[in-house]
Amino acid sequence: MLSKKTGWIALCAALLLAPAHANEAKYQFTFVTHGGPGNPFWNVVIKGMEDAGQRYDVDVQWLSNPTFSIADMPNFLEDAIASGVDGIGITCPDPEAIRESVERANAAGIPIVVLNTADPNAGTENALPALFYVGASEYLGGQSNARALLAEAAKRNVTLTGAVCPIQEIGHSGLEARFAGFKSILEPAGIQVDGLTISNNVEQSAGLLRDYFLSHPKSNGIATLGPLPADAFYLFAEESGYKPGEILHATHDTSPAIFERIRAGYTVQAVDQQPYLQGYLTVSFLYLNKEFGLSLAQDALTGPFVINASNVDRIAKLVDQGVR
Amino acid sequence: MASSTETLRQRFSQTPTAGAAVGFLAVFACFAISAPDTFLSHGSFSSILSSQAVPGIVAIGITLLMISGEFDLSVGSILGVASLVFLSAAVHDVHILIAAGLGLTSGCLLGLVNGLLLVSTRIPSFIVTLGTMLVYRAISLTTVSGGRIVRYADYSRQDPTLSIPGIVLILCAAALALIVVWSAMPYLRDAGTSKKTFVAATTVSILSCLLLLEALSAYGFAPFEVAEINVFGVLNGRIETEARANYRTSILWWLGLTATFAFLLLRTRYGNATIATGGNPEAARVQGINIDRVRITNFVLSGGLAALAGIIQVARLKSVDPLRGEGLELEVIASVVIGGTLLTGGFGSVIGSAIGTALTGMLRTGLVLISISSNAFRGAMGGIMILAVIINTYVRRDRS
Repeated sequence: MLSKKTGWIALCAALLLAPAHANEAKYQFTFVTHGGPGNPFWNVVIKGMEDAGQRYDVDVQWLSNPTFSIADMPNFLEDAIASGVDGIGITCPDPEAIRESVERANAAGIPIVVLNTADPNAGTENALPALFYVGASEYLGGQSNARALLAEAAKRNVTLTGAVCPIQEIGHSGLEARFAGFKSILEPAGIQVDGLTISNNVEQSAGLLRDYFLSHPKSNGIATLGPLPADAFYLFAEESGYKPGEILHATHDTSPAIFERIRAGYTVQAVDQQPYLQGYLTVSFLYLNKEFGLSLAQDALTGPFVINASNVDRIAKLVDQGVR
Repeated sequence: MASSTETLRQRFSQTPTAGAAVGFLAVFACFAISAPDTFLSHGSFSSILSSQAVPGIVAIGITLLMISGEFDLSVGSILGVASLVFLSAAVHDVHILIAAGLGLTSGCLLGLVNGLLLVSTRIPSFIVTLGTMLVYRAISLTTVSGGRIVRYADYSRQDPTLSIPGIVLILCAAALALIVVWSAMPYLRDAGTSKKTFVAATTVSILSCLLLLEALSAYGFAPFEVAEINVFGVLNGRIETEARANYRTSILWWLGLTATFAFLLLRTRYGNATIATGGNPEAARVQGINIDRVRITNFVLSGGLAALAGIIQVARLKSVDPLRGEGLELEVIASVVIGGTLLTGGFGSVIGSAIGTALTGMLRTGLVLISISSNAFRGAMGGIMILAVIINTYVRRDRS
């Protein structure tokens, strides 16, 4: 009997002591997202959130499934509303799943900022009641890569005669936007842009790229839409003996392999969405909104940010510090 | 003093729910003391109940299986597949009731496959369902490729509705009440020992009918007129109370199904057969119980309940992603174990599982309210589970 009692007393004590450290700060901001610390990408957003929390002396809290779950989001939003938080940051991979909870938070007067994944209905009557979006523009990222390929071709005195944009996940709206942005610059310049369905399987996709460049000898440009397709391109190009600059390459997102190829000259540039800023700015904007009622008139774009030979070494160092 | 402790222990040892109830009250008290303003509110109670309705319904099937000595790791994957079948059918212009029927059938079929594999191969259910968990997950992953999401909003911005005359609804509610009262009749005759059961059953029936009518009236119910019933609303709509509260109709489904299966388990031959199969399969066989059939039935029920939970979840989220339900099985099994059901079979309670599931939800919401990271939730849940099993083992030592 004694041991049981002791157990419960210990549990009660632990739970009672816990809030003693918390609730000292002026505001409490909560992030409810579709991914979390199980995916290295999100750790950079979380670090930005925590650093800003310290800077402004506010409590910050990250509520999400450790890896990926949209179904957990409305439940965490309900918890956040119930605990009476002062501001909420959300991602919007699926606005309908969280609509009711977001609308109730808004009705309760809690300011909401969308980060990382924009509300696809933003600007329409079906938009969620959020202040604005802090994240990258996929479309502008695609355009940036297209312009970089044109500039690199001019620098190397070659003509860009055709380009390919391999898509690893058909129907993914973010990737479609990257592709559309890339096309919007090159096609008016008279350069044909082909779509090519690949996958996140590097070996298979390298084979598909080989087939493509065999059947399209005019093409000498490629924009990959993520780190794994970039790996597929490197595997294909290096095995086929292409030299840097024979096929002009730009990519979305970052990885150690991409940094290495930017240094070696295989890759012209990579566009990054600066996840650290997404966490940091969301807390900053929520703080300014609570403190002074300030807001932005439009979205705050954290990307495209261009990484090329001029800044790749500095950025690779920041990766070690968890800021990139 | 010693004798009163002994009686308490003896009484505890015969009630599977006792450990869960004590744990529930203890954790409740902890949060009520440490965060009284936020925890003791409709906002947090509704958040706990609404978020636990789906795992709670899945937990019923898992409880039945565990009592009959088996195990189902594939419920999360079954929930994913059934959600996908339901929503895909609904967005391809299939009538919403047929779509729901297809979803339920898919869940029952996948459960049937589990049961048949178990009975025909005699491989332990842990291994069988570990395998089918991966296979069923692959169905969702290959059907919805590449991180895509099937959304109802892409198909229609209006929730699906059913046009039913009000009088039919009243008849349905009356029929439901009759069924419940009729089930309780034998215990009325046997009033000496089962007065309490009868009182409980009648209360449940009256309550459930009132709640049903209440739920329906919230969705445009008017007698003698054709009512437009919002199907998503009936499955998992918001019950209008105060602004910060978010009680949903899914809670009623959870409670109703819990009451139904608690009754089936405790008061029917099927329930006896389930307990006997898990407690001592050889003895059950000698008594003429077809233990294979009991096991298969429970796998089908487990799959069907997971499918129903998935459909109810879709009614709130209005979308399905390929990873829907992943990790749910472990959370549910933990809740069932907290609820006092034995992994070895033969002993357990559907109501205990409901308390265990509510306890799990309370832990999640409570930790958020006292500003502890959600990453600590799984750790806290594991700790509580081990503690609950220690207590349950302690109070049950008398039994053997």
